[in-house]
Amino acid sequence: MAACSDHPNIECLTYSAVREVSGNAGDFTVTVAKRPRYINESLCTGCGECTEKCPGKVPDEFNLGLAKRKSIFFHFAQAVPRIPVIDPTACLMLTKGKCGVCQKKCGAGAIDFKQTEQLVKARVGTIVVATGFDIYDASLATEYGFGRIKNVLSSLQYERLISASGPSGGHLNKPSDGKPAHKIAYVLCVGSRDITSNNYCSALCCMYAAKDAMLAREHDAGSESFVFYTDTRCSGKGFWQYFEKARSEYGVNFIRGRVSRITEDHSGNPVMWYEDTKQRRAKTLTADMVILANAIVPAFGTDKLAAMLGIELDKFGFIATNSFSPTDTNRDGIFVAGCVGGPRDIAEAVAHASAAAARAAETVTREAAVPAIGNRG
Amino acid sequence: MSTVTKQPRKAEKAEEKAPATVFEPSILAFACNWCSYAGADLAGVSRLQYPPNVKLIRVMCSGRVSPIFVLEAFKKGADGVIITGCHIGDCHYQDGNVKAETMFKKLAEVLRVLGVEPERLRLEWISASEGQRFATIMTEFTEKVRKLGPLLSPEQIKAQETGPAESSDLKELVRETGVYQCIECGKCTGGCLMARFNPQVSPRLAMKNFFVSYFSHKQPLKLLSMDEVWYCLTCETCHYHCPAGVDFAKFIVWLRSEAIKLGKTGTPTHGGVMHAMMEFQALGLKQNRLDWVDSSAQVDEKSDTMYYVGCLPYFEPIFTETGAHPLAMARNTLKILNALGIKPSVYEGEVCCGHDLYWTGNIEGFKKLAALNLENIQKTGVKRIIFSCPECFYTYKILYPQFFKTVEVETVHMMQLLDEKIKKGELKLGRLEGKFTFQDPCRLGRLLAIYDEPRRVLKSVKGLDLQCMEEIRKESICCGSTHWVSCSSYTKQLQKYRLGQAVDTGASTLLTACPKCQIHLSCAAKDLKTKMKIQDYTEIIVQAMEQA
Ligand code: SF4
Ligand code: SF4
Ligand code: SF4
Ligand code: SF4
Ligand code: SF4
Repeated sequence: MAACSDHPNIECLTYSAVREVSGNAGDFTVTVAKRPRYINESLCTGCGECTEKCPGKVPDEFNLGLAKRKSIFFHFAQAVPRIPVIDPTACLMLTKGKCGVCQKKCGAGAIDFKQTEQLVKARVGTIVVATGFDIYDASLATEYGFGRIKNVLSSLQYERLISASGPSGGHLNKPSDGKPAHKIAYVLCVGSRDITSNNYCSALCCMYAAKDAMLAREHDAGSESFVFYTDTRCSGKGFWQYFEKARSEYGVNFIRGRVSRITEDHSGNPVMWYEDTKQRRAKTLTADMVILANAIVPAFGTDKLAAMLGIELDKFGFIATNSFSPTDTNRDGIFVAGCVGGPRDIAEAVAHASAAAARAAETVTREAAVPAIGNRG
Repeated sequence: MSTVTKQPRKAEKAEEKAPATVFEPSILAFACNWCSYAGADLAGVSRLQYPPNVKLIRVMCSGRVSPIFVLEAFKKGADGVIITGCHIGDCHYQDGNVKAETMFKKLAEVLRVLGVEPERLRLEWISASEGQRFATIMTEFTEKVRKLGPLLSPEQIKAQETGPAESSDLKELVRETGVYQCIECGKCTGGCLMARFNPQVSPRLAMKNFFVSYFSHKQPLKLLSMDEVWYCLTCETCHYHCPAGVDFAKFIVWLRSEAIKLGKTGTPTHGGVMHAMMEFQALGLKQNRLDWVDSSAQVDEKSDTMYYVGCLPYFEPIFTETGAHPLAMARNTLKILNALGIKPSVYEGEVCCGHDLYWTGNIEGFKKLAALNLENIQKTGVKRIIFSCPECFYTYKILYPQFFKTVEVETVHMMQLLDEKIKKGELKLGRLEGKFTFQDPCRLGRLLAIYDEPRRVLKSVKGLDLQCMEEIRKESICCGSTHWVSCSSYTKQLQKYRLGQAVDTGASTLLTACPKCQIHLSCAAKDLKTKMKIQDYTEIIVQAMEQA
């Protein structure tokens, strides 16, 4: 990301949204709304002084609500560009008209409460859509108790918990009482391969669950890991060996059976109800913490963006592509890269993005008189 | 031994001369081995005369006579049934006759509602030495029944016969229930409420066994145990959580209809009397199903809104000892409707909706009842039917259109009506202090997704503190049986588990919205001696109305 933003031929518009697209391949005009950060970007040095004393306390989106952030904040430590943002729904100055602490703290005088949305027009030759994905809201799968049972977490929450820079400093502590979790279960296919939610395989969860389970064992050798799977979908070179390693070297327990229901026992531990289909028995398992492998779903707003771009969606809501031209949309000059076109893992997404870049370059070089990117107006 | 066949058939001779002048009733008598049968024997050896119409069946004890014996006898053409046993205190099994007496009282009430004259059923204590008494009672009973005339016409009896079993279209079934889509993930089994307590249960395996049976042996049931076919509560928990959309409960209904063709029925609860009583309603006798309507209740025969009562008048006598009062639901519903300014009709010709027969795989029985009810809709010209029972509501709303394409009547459940009227401020409710919790009925909840309405309705009562149990809404736990089959120690454990969840909420009353939930949970609460009070929600609404 940093390399991208530093590139002389690339202009990054972050914290922005596409409002309108017109024109055709070789000559598109894209109207982008730059949302106000309430910070003068050219003055800000990224020192972070402003965030220190802000009285705001808001659930931190990046940590999926596992920690709190201020009303003026950096989205995450490596955010590009390193310029904070004021959350207008939480900031006291913007909601109630009093406070201004950050303004006093900022030596560069960069805080600007009067900033408004700015429309930017860009003429471009080609467009690559790479807006990514969201994870399935597991609270919709009511049988799993996500959002109700404290110790049932989503896979992304788990990533934050086990991250050394995460809210718990990399310790797998139970949200219910802050005590370390020793018995951890991973429930796969949550919202995937299910006609009641998303009738496709999310492609990554089997593998990352194996990784997650190994991480937990590396972190605490005394812990126990249980992975509940429908089928092991480990397609790709070395994937199955990786899965096997989790089983044989890390002692991860793999149980074939999709978890039916999670309830909470009297001490706040999640209880999983499932059928061990190999042993042909309905059983329960009580764990300290349960991690749900949420499905990969189209990012919020993908439908609107597609409508603006005039491109089609597939029946799942991802951008439609063709098997033989996986980066091409139905419109000439508009391409997709990564999960916006369907679930794919990092390696695949990188390859996909490279292909999309090549296809995009093809379009621009084919059309001779293409204005340089960033040539506005 | 038989004293019956030796008798000259005087009546037959009479018939030859003047046919059809004397009616010969068919009388079935149950006699206990130790007293009454010996009494009959004594009558025989003493050459005492009694009518040959009486066909005697010896049972070991009068307590062995199950109500289903009596109902079946009437259905098959008996005009009178008499149960005899030892005098109270003389039972050779201590209190078998006391049990017979209790059973008799309930049965007599059920038969009365069904439209069978009370004189057609009799209970008598006859000891081994009372030969004369035996003969006198039999003669007297036969004459009484003779005066009443036949209970069923030969046509009515014949109409019960089912034709040769139709062969079902398996391909259609597979498509409809989606069993072929199964990915064998086991989610159904893990979530199955029966599998929680009965380790033999696995809907996934049942389907697998079916496929192997069908495709390898050409017999759908070959590898299935009858337990596998009959344990299911048809709560549909598995269906609504299946990632492949397999409708296992529907599949089970089909398996059951196949099993019935082979003469393999499950273990009906209450000795099968429930299903027999439901089938009986299809015979077309004039029922006495409206006695419960209070004189203060406002009903209007000509109203285009009908209140469909269902089997509540039958459940009432059968289940009083559980502490459940199914008819209170009907009375309260009328009170509420009246308070809303609705004067509905209640229809004497109404018959059971057929819900339970359908889910037990008795599709023919179901269709007969459904056809009668649909005929009634036409006859009465009602435009809207209001239901208090979720199962009747589901049956009318979902099942009838599946079997009979045109059902042109609006169906409304009380919860929907209440929710709408309370929102509009048309029902004044007062204050009612207390901690309550609510049991989602399978049919109202999972099958029809009516989850929010009951909660809104209950919360509109000021002071009512509504607590949530651990598993609610789509994950709600079935009360133990939706169609009177396979009540077992497992279902009891299930009920105990559910009541435990209710206790955990700290509530003192568990509110139900389905007569079966009320009956089953009341029964379990009594067995387990818990303090949890089980109450139908209409009672709370009526109480709150009175406080307004
Ligand atoms: S706004 Fe001011 S205080 Fe905040 S990071 Fe930028 S320069 Fe530093
Ligand atoms: S003005 Fe807003 S952003 Fe700045 S310190 Fe106060 S609350 Fe935080
Ligand atoms: S990758 Fe595995 S866990 Fe994820 S949806 Fe597919 S089968 Fe389920
Ligand atoms: S839940 Fe559905 S897909 Fe899974 S085993 Fe049961 S029937 Fe098959
Ligand atoms: S319908 Fe209910 S009892 Fe029957 S198999 Fe499904 S979950 Fe089990």
